[in-house]
Amino acid sequence: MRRVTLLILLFASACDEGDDLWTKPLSVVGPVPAAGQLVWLHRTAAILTVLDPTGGRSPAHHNVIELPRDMAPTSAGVVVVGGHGARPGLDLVSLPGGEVTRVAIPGAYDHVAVSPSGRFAVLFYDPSAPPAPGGPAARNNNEITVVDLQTLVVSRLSLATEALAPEEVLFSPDGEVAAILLDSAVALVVLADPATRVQVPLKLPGGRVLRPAEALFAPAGDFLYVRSADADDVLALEVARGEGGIHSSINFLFFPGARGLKDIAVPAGPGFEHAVAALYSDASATHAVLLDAAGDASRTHFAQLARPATALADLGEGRLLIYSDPRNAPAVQTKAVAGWEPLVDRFDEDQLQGPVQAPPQIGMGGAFLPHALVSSGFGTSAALTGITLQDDGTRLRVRLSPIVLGGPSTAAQMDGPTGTLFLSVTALRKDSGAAPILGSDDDFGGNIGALVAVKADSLAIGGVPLDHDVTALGRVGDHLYALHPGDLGDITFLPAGSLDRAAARRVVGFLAGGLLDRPEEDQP
Amino acid sequence: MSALFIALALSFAGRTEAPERELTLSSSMGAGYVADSAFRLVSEGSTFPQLELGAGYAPRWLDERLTWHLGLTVGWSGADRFQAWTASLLTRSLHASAGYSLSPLSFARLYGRAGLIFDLATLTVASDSSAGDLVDRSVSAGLLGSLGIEVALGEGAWSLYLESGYGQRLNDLRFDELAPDVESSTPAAISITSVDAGGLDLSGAFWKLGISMRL
Repeated sequence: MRRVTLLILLFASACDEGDDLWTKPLSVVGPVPAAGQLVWLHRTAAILTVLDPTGGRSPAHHNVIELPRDMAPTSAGVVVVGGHGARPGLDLVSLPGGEVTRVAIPGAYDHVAVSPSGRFAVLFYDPSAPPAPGGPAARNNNEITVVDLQTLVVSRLSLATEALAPEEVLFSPDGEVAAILLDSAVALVVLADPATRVQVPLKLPGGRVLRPAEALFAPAGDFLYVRSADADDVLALEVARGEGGIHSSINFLFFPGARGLKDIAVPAGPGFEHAVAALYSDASATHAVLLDAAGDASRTHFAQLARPATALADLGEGRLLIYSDPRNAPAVQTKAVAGWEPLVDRFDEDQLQGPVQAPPQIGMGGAFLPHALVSSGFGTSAALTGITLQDDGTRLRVRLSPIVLGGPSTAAQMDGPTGTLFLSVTALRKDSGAAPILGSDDDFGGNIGALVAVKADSLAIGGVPLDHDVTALGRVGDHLYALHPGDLGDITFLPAGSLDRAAARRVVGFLAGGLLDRPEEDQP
Repeated sequence: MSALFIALALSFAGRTEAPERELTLSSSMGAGYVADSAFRLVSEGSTFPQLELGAGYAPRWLDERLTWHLGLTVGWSGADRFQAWTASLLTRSLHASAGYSLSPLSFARLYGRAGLIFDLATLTVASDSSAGDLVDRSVSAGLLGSLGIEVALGEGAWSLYLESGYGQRLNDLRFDELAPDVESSTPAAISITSVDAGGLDLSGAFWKLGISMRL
């Protein structure tokens, strides 16, 4: 009998087919809101998963191009770039129907960015990604492709810069010009006529490279402001379009004596034409400066802060918020917060009860800054502070509204349409109002994410417990979504205007959808 | 490969005579070969290991070469997927068939069978990082046909048999309500929407090697 068993095992093993896509690591892009749906790209299985936040449609799964690498939302759905190295393509997926139109493209690009109008897609390589299987073992990272998503005209062009690779694509507010940020250059491309382009090297005499760390278009699209970690000057690239094509010149904007450029912001509104705000902070001083892109020093405004800060944000109505953002300078943890109205030179500063520890939520003319545990006579608790700038006669005042949380906040989302800050706060499942752990009728162990809604104007607070921890919050259509941990996909949707468990809907395991309906694998 | 099994069986062979007893119990192990590529979700290959318990009845008053057979087959396959999940398929299949045998050799009996099969399948997808296992159940039905050889072990009631055939399913297993099991509780859980994982066709060839005993 032992011999028989051995023969059976040998026979069974001879039929196995070895490794394939099923054994590759799980790789997912998303969620991306598109056409009122929430979309994930299961890159390993080449499946697009589409969830309808209203629940009107069942979760849908669409097969897309093999070896998909990236996706981006369009006005009608999403585009997915991918394909075998010898057969690269761009899938245009309409939503919610899921119809796929495939466009052949000249290279197996790694990323896709779509203009705000949804008309143009810019495809570019990721220098850190290996070439697609079956494709050339080397590639020109200066090559990009522009696809007109209406006419499906594909234009391949080489930027021919001295830079090694693109890092980011920005679009002008009107969507007509793309700025491709490379590691030592910026290329400006007119999307309707990609042959019309100009490149601006970010190099100083002597060969020193100014690597872009951040770039922002002016609201009018006539300037592109670039911050480099290698310089204290703000680089203002003029974007001039005319019958002769596109032209650009570069101005180096600086404030005498200021060192340590930490952040830039572009305020919108009357009086801010050609203006860029910059925050400088080093060991000796912290300055907020409004600079004129055309170099007119008479339009410069500045304020000096008593404490270090690392970030700027436009609050609208000519006001800027100055604070410390751990993303800009993790080592700098200060409690500084300030309001600045540069055009009338009004300024006020204050300090929070603890350093900022998570990205701020900005909107409705104010901001909420999550910060470290705070201690009071009643104990230690997690907290955030709502900040508004008030016009107090001749003076601008920073008004702080501390809010004590029942536990650490794991995610936040400022929701403009409802003027509400949504927070997820970690709470004990027991007695929270949440259901038991899935699969049990009485196990109330562990934590859940409690959704908290804070009205930005009145600070009125409401909330609802969800049935699992929350890792991210977002909005799609009229619904709020809360992502839960787990690599099968787990999400809860709620109407943004009604935080009610009875109206909530959870989808668990959506990344496993459609796996049995995949087409036969295309063999390289 | 089959020749090896036959040679092995012959080494144990005794004389096979026309069955004198009407009832037979059997047990076998074997494998199906699922052609549908979707099966790769739960298997490293197309092999679907199976165990079977069966009972046969020979209505000698009707035809001494005819056998009616009823069997229960349990199949299971599971695999780690995407370096993050485990996916498994459990099937319980009930099959009823009629067989007809010939005894051209003194020590062996050849037979053929044809019948119906009903499958109840459970698909489970799990991940350590997720809140609950995803489970769905589905049914399918189909037709079976097989050929086999049975060799008597010595002079007693025991026999060794090797059988191979093909099962054609008439419908796919549809796993379109994949979701965690939710218990009734207070407070009630937030409503969960299920997910459609797709369909799986269990059709394919199979073989089994077993022993049987005449009662």
